[in-house]
Amino acid sequence: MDIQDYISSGIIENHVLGLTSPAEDAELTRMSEQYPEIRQALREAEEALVSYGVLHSKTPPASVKGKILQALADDGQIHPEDENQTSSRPSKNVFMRAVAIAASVLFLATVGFHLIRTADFRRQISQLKQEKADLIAQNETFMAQIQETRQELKVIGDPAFTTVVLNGVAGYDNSRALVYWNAASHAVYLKPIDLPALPQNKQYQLWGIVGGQPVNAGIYDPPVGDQALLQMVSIENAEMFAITVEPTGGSDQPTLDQMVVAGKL
Amino acid sequence: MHAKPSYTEAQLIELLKLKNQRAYNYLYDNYSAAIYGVICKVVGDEDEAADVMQEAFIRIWRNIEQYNADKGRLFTWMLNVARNLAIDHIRSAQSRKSSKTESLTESTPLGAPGYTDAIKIDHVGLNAVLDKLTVEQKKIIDMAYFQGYTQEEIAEELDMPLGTVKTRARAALMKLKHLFV
Repeated sequence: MDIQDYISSGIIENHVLGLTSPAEDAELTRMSEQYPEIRQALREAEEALVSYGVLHSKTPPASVKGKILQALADDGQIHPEDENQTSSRPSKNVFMRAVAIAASVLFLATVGFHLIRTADFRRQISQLKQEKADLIAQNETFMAQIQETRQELKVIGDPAFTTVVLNGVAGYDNSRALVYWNAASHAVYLKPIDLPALPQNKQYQLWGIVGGQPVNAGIYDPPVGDQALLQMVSIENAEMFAITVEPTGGSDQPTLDQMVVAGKL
Repeated sequence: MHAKPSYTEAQLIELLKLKNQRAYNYLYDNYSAAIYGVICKVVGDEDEAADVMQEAFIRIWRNIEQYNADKGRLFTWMLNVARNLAIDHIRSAQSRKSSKTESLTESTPLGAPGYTDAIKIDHVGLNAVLDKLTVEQKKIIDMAYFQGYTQEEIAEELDMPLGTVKTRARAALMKLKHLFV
């Protein structure tokens, strides 16, 4: 069947006016589902007739709406609480506003709480960092001490070293020092014990006496606290060791009246 | 209090199927005048028209599930539900009283001369459209659309062959289409 012929046959217009038979209606339904042009023509015809109907618009009596609502409610088509939807709006708004305010307050409180917590964490972190630095420094000190002690033990325990006890001379009766000397390698280690503190411009100087002549074995400051083993200048063929007080930087020859301790091999 | 909601037809249908009260209010506020107008045109009596409209809206509400968007616009469907109900109403009233043909000439001023002057028309648009339609075209549309007449009834009423009714009905509707679409 030709679509245009079908459209212009008048069946569409007669259908929308309700003038067609049930058989014709069924045919048109089928055709409109199949052909978009027919569907379009059908819509246009309906629109035209509806527009004509709308021209007769008349405002219904105000009471009708309420009656219909009541009838629908009686029929169970509307839930009673729905009917209050419009009138309950303001209180709903108040409720929603309260919820919004509560949510805002909660939000601000949460933000404040987290700011405080964050500051707290920062403080804790810097504290922990400081503690860590302290522990590392302490550890380094311990490591250095262990190293020194190990060195000291190595020297003391080595049979190649000879221990020379330097006792205090007159006026330094309580002072004492130990020298560890290796005759083979000529290495000299000093362990000062109970040497008095010196003024700023003075230093102790160790001498080795070789062939009756004093030989410089190095200067040092009296250490504070535990006195570690100090490696001094190597000396060959030492016969004796002595410590004098000299001006800072040391001297070429010992100032004999400034002798503090001395000891022979 | 709040701005009137505005829905697309698809949204409105969805809400109506959920039996949403606000959608129903929207439906009534926007379409009741057109529906009431058509029912009045069919029924004639305004009190009866109000009763028919109540029935129509309940039927629309209850049968919203049956509405199929593929078959046409919601408004077209609603208007047809209301119109068919109104036509059924006068049909049953008429059959109770007397024969339909007599009733038509008596109760509706369609056939009466000077009908367009007699009815109160406050709608400028309606006047403009009616001016464009011939008396016969208007008569055919009103008999079919507002009174639910069949082709045979119109042919008898207007004393013309069935084929002519068909052709003139098409011409009348083509004129409306030309005026509106």
